[in-house]
Amino acid sequence: MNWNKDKSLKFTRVCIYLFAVILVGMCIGAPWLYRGFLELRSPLLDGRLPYFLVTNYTTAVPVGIALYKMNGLLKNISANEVFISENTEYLRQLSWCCVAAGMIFAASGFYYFPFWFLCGTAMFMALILRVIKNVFAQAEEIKRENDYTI
Amino acid sequence: MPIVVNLDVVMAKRKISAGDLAKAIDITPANLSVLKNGKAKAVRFTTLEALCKTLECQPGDILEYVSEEEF
Repeated sequence: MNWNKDKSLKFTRVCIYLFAVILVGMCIGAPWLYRGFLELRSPLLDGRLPYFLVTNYTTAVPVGIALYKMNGLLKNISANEVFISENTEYLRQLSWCCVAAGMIFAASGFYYFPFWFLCGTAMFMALILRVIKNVFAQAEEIKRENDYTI
Repeated sequence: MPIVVNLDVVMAKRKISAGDLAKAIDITPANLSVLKNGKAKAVRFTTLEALCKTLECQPGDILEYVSEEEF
């Protein structure tokens, strides 16, 4: 198969839509999903269903925002507008979305400790995004200088 | 920035229009405008050479250093 930049961008956007569908599915089916999960894990997690639902729905907010921002970022990249201030801002917001999700997982870890692993992962993702954001900000500056070199 | 571009002065002395100069040194009129208005961040030696050749002048006639206080 002839793989190129456009196909890669399309594939990433399809993945974003797929994740958006999963997110909506998780929000709609959360009560049934977690009830089934808790039945498998009981009696240790008996009566914890409301906690899981709160974690699910509060996490859905930063995840939804992150998906929306990622879509915007990809739209700009598809339009060949890569090193622009808007994209740096998108990356900064994505990083904060990861921090927000990490905080929710950190609090959720008190009733179900595996959430702390997710917290660690989300915080590490936030750090990576922060570094990429800094690279973008620097590249934006270099591009501006290059654009104004006559 | 303390570097002042006096391109418009030299152009007026040589009586050459922006369009003609842009064509002569092979840059776009938009880029020449950026240079003329002092918005440029850097000037390539090749551009400077073409400017000096076309306008029959020295780089010092086009670029001038003005200290921050005077600026």
